[in-house]
Amino acid sequence: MKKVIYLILTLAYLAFVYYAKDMFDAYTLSILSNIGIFAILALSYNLINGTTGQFSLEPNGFVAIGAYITALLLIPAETKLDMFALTDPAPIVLKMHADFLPALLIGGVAAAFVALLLSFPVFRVRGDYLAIVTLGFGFIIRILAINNPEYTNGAMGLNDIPSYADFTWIGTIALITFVTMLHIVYSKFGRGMKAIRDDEDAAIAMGLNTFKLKTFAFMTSAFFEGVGGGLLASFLTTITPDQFSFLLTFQLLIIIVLGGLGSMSGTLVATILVMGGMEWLRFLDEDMVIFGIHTGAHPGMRMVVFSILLILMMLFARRGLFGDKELPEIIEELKEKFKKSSK
Amino acid sequence: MRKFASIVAAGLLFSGVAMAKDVKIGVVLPLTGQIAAFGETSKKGLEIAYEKNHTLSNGDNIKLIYVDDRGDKVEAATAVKKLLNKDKVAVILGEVASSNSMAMAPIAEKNKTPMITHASTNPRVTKGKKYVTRACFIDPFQGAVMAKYALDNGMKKAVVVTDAKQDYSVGLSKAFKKAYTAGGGEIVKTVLINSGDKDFNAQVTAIKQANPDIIAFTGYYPEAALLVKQARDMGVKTPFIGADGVGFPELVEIAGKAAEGFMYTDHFNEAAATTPEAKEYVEAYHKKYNKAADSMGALAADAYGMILSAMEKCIKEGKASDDKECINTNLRNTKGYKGITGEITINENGDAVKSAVVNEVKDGKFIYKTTVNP
Amino acid sequence: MDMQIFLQQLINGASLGSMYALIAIGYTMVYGVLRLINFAHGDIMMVGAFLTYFGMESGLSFELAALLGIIGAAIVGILTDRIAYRPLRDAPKISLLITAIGISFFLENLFTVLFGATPKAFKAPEYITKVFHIGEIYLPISVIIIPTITLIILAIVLYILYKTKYGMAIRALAFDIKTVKLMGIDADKIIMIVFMIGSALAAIGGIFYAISYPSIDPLMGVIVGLKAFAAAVLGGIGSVTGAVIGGFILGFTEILVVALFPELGGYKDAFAFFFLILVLLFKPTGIMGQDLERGRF
Repeated sequence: MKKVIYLILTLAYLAFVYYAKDMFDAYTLSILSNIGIFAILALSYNLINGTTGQFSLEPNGFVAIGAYITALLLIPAETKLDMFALTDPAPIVLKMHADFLPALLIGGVAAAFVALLLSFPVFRVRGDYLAIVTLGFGFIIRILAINNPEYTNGAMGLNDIPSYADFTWIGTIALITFVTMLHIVYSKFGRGMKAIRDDEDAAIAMGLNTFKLKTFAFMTSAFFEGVGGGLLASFLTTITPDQFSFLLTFQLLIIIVLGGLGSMSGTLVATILVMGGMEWLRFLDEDMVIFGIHTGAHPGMRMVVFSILLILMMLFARRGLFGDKELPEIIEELKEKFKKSSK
Repeated sequence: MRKFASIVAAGLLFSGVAMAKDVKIGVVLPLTGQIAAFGETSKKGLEIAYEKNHTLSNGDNIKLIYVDDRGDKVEAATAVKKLLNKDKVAVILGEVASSNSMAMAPIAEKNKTPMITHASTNPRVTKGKKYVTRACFIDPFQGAVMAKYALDNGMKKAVVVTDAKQDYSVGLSKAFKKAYTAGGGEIVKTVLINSGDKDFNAQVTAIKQANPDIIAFTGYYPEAALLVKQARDMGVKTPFIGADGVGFPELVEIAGKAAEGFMYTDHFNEAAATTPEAKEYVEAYHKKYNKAADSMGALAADAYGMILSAMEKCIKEGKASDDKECINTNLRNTKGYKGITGEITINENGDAVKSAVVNEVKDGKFIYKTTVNP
Repeated sequence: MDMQIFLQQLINGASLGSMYALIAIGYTMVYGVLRLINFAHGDIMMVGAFLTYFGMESGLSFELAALLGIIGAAIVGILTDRIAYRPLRDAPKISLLITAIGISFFLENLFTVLFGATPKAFKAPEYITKVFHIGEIYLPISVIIIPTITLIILAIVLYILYKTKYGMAIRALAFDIKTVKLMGIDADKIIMIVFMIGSALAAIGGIFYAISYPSIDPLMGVIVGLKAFAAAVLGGIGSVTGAVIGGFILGFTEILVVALFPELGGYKDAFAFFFLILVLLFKPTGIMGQDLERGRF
């Protein structure tokens, strides 16, 4: 019974994703696509931060790697020659080329590979130090992108990236990410990851190879962040190193904490709330008429209100919206409560 | 008289006699974030122009819809989509930074909506675009003016300071180098900075070792001010020449005495404001903001004026004032528009052909030196 | 490079290091008592510089305005603790981190809305900014004043920490917050004092920063804050002396490496983190740090 419901939901979702471009205007589609990309990034970030409980701050680095590699694979060589303004592009940059899907996958694999290399030093430290080292990693990736113009066109970034990533692509990949993450969470690996989150020393005592598990979570997370980065690059058609500052990581962190660390469905809901909310709050920046008085435009007001909302939500919903539970479990709980109260 | 006409028009509008409608212009500017200063001054100029005239001859009312893009390419692109799909604007005005305009241009082009940038000087902004126009000259011209002025004053060895973060600066540096070496000058070193930097110790040390006759600075004023101050503090006495990105009162406020003698090319100088349009604008600007009028604001006002003039032409042709195709054709065919920053003619690429001025900081003021024609 | 330039850069490094050190002390003290990476700390520094600027604009002398800036920043620091951190003392630590980010966004954007994002010229008095030169060494007086004041402040902070009753309470709190509460010490009051001291020092750092780089904007605290934080970890987070050492190391490296190898200039902002990762790999608790509690957060 449950399986049938899920199947119908999935098909309905896919139909929505496929027909969305005929139903909405470009602005709505771009908001939906944005939500889709951030869902991919936040879901994969939640695997390492929420499920495995390794508080790290590096997704901006992995997203950047995926975005740059995908972009360089997609842009034709003539455009690269025209675009690289500081120095000539390196020969390998001119040579690399791939179709959209392989380009996305290569971007993801590259990010996962970097994650593998990185796991050796970073998992030597735990707790807050892990956060700091990974924050540093994200920072360094951005500085490297700025300072190696023969590969990245420096701080100006890449323009004219072919725009393959429409909402159909993004929505489909978001679904794949969601399903994959749920599979991992409910698998043997997922239970191991949760054990690490709850008590790493106990997990070691129980004979779990925590390093392997953490590395697996880290690499999976990095892979999807890389793919998400590739989608982002092709969706925006332009990228710069500054897009991948720690602000991106903060945004993702806000999403996963708001949704509930460890809850994949919570992350989805929070992505919609945060990304949609930021766009919706845009009216605050504009001139408003309240009782016939013009307030005047106050650029930045949107972010002020957003930050106040953020603080309030954290003060009153400390464990996020869903805690570490998934949506069906929450529904079950609510049903229970409802039954009790109706008795 | 014009005022009277607009009052009459406004009266008609309220009485409901005329079938006047709102015509929307979407304005994308960096009003927050790192380059917000440019957005703010652009907006100031735009407001002056808007207050002066926001009613068309057929009674249609112009509405400006500002969107802040935080100086970010991605937000700039989203902003254009919002303006097109949600607000249904007829024209898009903006952005300041070339990188952001380049993110916006393809979207305007795809939606066949005229876009005019008032201050993006990188040639690639309008390249191959039918619907993108600009109210300013382009960097190759500006770079050539800088080079010519330096060479004419006997400065044969230059260090170029490039802001590697800005398409504007990189393009301008290229243009300067080309014109400078063609004119017999020698580039002894290129020094890179990044917008947002505050410490230029490394760059000043490098400049000191190169010992040039002139330092060609192609970035924006926040960095220019700190760089020239730190250079003077470390005993570097070489003169600086910059471009339109440095001509802001903050240059002098931040750098203080160190800014003395800083030369730069610009679109506009109050002191060179001789036409009635320019004088009127400068007066209104002083009255409203109690500040010297800068070129960003003047350019934004000109871009707005060009849009209005294109709309008026459409009305004369018997078309609707918000007919995008018609506005675009008239914008692209602008000839001899008498703007605040001088006479503007749009060439076949959509770039404005107009004169540049050279200014110099003296006693804390921007002194007008000369006008260079294209 | 000749000796004179080297000497000049050394003094510049000490001056820059002082600013990092002052800001790092706040990070390290708050971390010590709350185990919280206070992401809003860099913005407190911005608040201090801005209040000083407005004090001067409204006609106060530089000294009075600076005092206003320091007191104002201290109050803002105490308020952030009161509003955003205190209600979450027993919540998961990550919630606290998110409110810290929230406060940081809030301050940056509030100042943008209120005062605009245009960089403002910070006009320090002549006697601080005047440049003098000995031979080929050119120095503004500020590069001498700043490290001197920093060392005096460090001495005062260490005195408070090790010789006063409040200092003892702060150290006890950093050691074991639960036991301290059982002993009848008002932990909230002590934490308030920590925020007050940390924020006041950040404001001083901010004012020094504004004197050295006289253009201030609402986002000025972001990168400096991050780097000062890295300096605090480098020195061993939780240790005040460590934070100062970390700050100075960072200041010297940034200036000297760039002066010796100008082509590395672009990597300047990453030095802090390169260093940090190296040190943490070999001594995972920083130069002066002790073992922190293990496990999650």
